[in-house]
Amino acid sequence: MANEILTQISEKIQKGKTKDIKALVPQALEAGIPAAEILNAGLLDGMNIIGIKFKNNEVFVPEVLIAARAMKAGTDILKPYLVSDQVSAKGKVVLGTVRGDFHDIGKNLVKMMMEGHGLEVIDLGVDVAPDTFVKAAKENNADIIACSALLTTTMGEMKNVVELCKEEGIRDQVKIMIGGAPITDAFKNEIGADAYTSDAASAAEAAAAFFA
Amino acid sequence: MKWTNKQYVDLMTYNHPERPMFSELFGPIVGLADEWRAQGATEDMIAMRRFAFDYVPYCNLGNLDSIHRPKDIVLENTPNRYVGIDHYGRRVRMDKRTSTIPLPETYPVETMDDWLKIKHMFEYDPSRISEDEIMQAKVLQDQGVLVKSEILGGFDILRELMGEENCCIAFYEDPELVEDILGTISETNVKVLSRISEKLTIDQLSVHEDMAGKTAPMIGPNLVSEFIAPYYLRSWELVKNAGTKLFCQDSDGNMNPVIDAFIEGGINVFYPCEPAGDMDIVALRKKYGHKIAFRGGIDKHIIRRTKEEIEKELLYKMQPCMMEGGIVFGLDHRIPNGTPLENYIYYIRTAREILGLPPFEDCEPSWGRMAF
Repeated sequence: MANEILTQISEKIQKGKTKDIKALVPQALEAGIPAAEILNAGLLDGMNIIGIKFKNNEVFVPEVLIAARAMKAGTDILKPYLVSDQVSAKGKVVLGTVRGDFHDIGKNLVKMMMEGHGLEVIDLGVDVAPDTFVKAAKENNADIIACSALLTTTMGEMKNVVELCKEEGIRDQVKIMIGGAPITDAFKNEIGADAYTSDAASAAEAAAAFFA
Repeated sequence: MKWTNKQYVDLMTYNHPERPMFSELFGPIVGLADEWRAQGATEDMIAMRRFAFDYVPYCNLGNLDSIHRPKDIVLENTPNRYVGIDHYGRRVRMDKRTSTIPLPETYPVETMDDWLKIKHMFEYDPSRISEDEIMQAKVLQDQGVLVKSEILGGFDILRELMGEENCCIAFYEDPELVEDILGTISETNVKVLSRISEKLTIDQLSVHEDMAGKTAPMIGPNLVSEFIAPYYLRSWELVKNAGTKLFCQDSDGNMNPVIDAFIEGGINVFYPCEPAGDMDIVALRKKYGHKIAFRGGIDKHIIRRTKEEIEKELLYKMQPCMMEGGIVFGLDHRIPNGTPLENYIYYIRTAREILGLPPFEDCEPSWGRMAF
């Protein structure tokens, strides 16, 4: 019974069926399935499968968006139960598009995918200055700073983030991830970041791997 | 060399091209001129003319864009920053130090009611095309100018009106809205293109989408087939039946997953075929043969690297299977900052040699943008 509901939840997440999720999650709770299990084996399982399909170009942005919306509906229902069960996120990520750059779709996809891997994401938005990244990382005790850039003219800001982390003495405490259209692995090495990924699903996998 | 519309259409339809076409589609990016001047470039080089590029002159016929637009409002305009309200009522902003195009923060359409308020901007109006314009275009066409008409991108206009995320969600959660927007624009396209096609044959139908990132398009083949291809086909079938041979789509990024779906929608020319987005014109030629043609396809980033890498890229892209026509060889977008002038000249010389064209120094200066 439990497995059946969890499988259904995962499948409905993959199809982005918010209404069904809103019905199935309470059903699972009533059946006595722990909130953490509903989260991991139902909601996050569905989102992980969507991430794999996205990476393989089997599904695209619209399908990810409706899946993420369904997952949010499910986690909203679960939240009070997760708090009382003292279930916490696997890790904390500070995310933003770098200074001078207003593009946000790539960043938003990364956020959805990371949340789909059970990470807590603090979204700083677009046009984020290096000191804002660093301040947010310190205040939230973040494990990862993730920077996005679409423009060749703004990618240099990523180096400023790395340098400021060194100056502020938190470089050893945070992993720095970078991504975006002009970014390459060679650029990651050049500026001394920890990870570059070419798409949102890979970014989430790489972030989760830091906690494995 | 200046080409005629007929020579260009012959080339792109594999109809016994006399020689390959080698062009610079977009020209240099902002800031490169200063770099090149410091390296000794002449003004004729900065203007691209010295390199004797092939081009075909073109004109656009018919206004298929939005009309009756309110004027843009400037809210803030400083040396570093621009904030304003644009013709769709969107709040837009730009950091002038890093960008040239203001990006929207807000969008006018969330619901059907929102759309109905601005729908009139996309409806047919006789001012969209006049007899005089058609007659003027016909005169130019007879002189060898390529006449193109451009429909709004099926994904692009939804993104402009709704924002990327909302338009993506609307395909699933509000398909009636998507269909009403595309249906309205489609009606307008058909009326304007019908009036034009009664008097002349459009040389090329164009569409701008720019709907892909480095690893994938925004939407997949299922949504292209369901929403975008039918929208394209209404315009394409009309002009094709009137003799038009080319339907060209402009989209950066990795379009591989949706090429088949767009071919179903009538597209037969893709550009600029960005290698950084995994678009390999040689692989595409092997896969699709003469079914589709290309403009661009040469990696702009290579020109910043070594001469060996430049030569390798050109020998690969200009191999015999690519010499059958169906391609305008050129960089896949603007020449990037940091491209040494010496490398660029080496690129031109090597490409012309492989293509069997005379050295640019022996040719009349010429260049025209080929981004159409």
